[in-house]
Amino acid sequence: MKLWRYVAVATVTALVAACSSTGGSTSGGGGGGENELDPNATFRFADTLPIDTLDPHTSPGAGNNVWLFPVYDRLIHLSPDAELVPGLATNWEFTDDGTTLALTLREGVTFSDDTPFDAEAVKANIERAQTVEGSAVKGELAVIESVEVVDDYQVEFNLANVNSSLPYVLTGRAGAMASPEAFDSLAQEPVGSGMYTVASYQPGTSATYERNEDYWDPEAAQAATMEFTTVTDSLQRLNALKTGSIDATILSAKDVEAAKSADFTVASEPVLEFYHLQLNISRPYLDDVRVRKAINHAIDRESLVSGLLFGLGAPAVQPFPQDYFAYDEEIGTDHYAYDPERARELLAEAEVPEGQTIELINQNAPSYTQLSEAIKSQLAEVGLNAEITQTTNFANSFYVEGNGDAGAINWTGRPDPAQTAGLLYTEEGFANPAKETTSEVADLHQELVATIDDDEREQLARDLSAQITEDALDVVLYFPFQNVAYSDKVQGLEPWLSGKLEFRGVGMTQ
Amino acid sequence: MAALIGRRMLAAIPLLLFVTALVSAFTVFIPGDPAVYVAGENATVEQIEQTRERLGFDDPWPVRYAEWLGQALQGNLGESVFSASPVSELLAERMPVTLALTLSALLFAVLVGIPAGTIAALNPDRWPDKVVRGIATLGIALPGYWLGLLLLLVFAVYLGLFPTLGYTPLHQDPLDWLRHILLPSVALGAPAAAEVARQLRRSMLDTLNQDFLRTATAKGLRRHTVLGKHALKHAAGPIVTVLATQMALLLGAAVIIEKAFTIPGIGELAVSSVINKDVPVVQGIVVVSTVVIVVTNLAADITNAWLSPKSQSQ
Repeated sequence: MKLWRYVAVATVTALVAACSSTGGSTSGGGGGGENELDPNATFRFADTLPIDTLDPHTSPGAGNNVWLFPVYDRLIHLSPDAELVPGLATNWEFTDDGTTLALTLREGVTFSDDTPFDAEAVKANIERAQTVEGSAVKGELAVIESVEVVDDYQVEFNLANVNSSLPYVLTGRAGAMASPEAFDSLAQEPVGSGMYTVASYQPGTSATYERNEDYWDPEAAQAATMEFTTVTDSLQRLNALKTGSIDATILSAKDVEAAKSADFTVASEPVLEFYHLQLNISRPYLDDVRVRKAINHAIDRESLVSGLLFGLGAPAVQPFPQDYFAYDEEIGTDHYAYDPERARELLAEAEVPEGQTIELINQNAPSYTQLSEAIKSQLAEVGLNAEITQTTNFANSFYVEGNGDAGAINWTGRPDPAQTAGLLYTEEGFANPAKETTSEVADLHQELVATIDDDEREQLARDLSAQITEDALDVVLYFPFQNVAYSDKVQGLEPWLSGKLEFRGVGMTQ
Repeated sequence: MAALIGRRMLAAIPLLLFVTALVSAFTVFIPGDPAVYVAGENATVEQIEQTRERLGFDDPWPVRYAEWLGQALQGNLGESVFSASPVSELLAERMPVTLALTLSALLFAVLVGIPAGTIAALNPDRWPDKVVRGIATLGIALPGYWLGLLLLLVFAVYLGLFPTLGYTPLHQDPLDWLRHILLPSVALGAPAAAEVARQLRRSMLDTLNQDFLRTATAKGLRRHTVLGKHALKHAAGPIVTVLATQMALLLGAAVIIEKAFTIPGIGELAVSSVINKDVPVVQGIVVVSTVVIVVTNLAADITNAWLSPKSQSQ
């Protein structure tokens, strides 16, 4: 089904590209079959997080993609299944043994201020993203040493070393293309070439989008207008949905049942985001793989999912969800079955004294505290005494300052498994509290980054996932479902595996 | 009168300096480091360090305060650490919303509190008085956000009469503005209305026993003239003072009400800025709030002077 859609999008894309020279009469007959969408509709969506800036290159978190991507196309896009699909580049390939990435650009695209999109614009954007004050993506683009304009629609990135993550990086804010004429004012007045333009914007609260009539994919923007607001509380989002103030939103697991009983559709599916009990493997006892395996066996993931998420999640032991290409079938989801007996044995083998204290760092918010408390009681069953320390800034406390032994937190996921593995499980990884790893994991990660062949890459990603799990570098807990709730007028909305909704093809019936 | 205004304005200057310095010092105690977030989720430790330097987080607070003050004196309140929007722009966008909310709440307090207080005072210790006193006690005791959530549940979610979130500016669509502002104003204004009712009752009772009212009644003036022109005007002094103090309280309470009703006002901005340690925005909010409160108090004093010429000399 999803594959079919990808093929459809690609076909339409090719058709449009072919037709673009003959001018813009509507193709007719193509889209209108299944449901009569109202081309003048307004689609209103409540997001969970506030947006700080509409400048894609200084925007720090991928959560902002939801707000940014209607305006900014990226060089490469992700499909709903998190696979690479053409964006502003129609083709990309590594040449020179992987030290060059050559891109062919989509022709006939202009930014909404009528500046043409071409190789010069790509060069200007990459260079800006690397150097603009406050750039939040320069680290991801550091591998690009120079950008070479071959001709109007051919551009080459010269790389410092082989980095097969780069196409995935370019699907994010790092690959977002803005009009070079508008570089100085993007934060408030964004100018991209995306399927919508921003008509009005209030930092931190709301934005109104209007359809870009010249967009290369006429199927993308089905609603004439989109209104996004930020509502941080799930119950308030549910209330807004019930009272018709919005048409769609994302709900916490606790509110899903109420939405369903009020006749709203709720699509619940796992995304790349997962929760894990991160271990600082440089700490005494936690540096012993047996202890880490013991903790993995001590956790009853099923009961966490049923107790905390009302069953709306998938228990897991590896950092990638089932059906994703980096998921290792052999390891599966049950490699560390809940087995307190086994956990006790392993702890005894490693000579961990009964009642050994583990300091858990906890992000001070109800959902995390519930999880930490549940883990604390499960660890107590196998004779580990977890002590919870509160922080208001988990990343700072646990990753930067190196406090505590472990911490239960969510990982929001990255487009490429090598990014997730690099950040969480390598020595340089920012989100690796110990800044230590095993040599097997380090080697596999390096190999993955240096491999450009797709099939080999997928195999390596699976091997890496298996190795991380075998070495028990982490205690992966579960993949919470993303619960997308919407009224019966909304068409084409579904969870995106990336976890960041894009609204391509989303429309409203009359 | 001009002297009064001038004196107050001069007195506001050291107050502003003191408050902003205090806030600047307090920010040291907010845990966490915004640089970790601002640098981006895939940033390296070095990039976070550079971000910290760029934003001046490494400097001690007196240095940061002096820099901020230097800019502020030239009318530049700086930029938000997160959105890079000018603080003045954020305030200009948010402040009208909060002012509309607090002023509507005050209006509600006056419209409900004054009739209720008057009725109570005219029927001391009889049932209307007891009812008013009972409700007023309840009104003061109930937390505004609880009342807000209750109103939301009943009138917005179940009855569907009002939206549950958002805000429309008055000049854009007055009717829609009213639909958005009514419930939060009631929730925010209820404790103030209760306070006004109680204070007015007390002050009316005192006034009603005074000689000049007995004289007025004895002169044969009609009852509503006695009450409206003499008693109420005389008793209104304390109410004006109450309203001025309520204004400060309401600005504080608006933080929670705005959260409950998802209204993009200054309170909502204040909470997120404090949590994120967005110091320039916090400072901007403190400056504007202080000015609003100083101006409100000044307005109260001027009104009091008009109501009771005796206090003008003080």
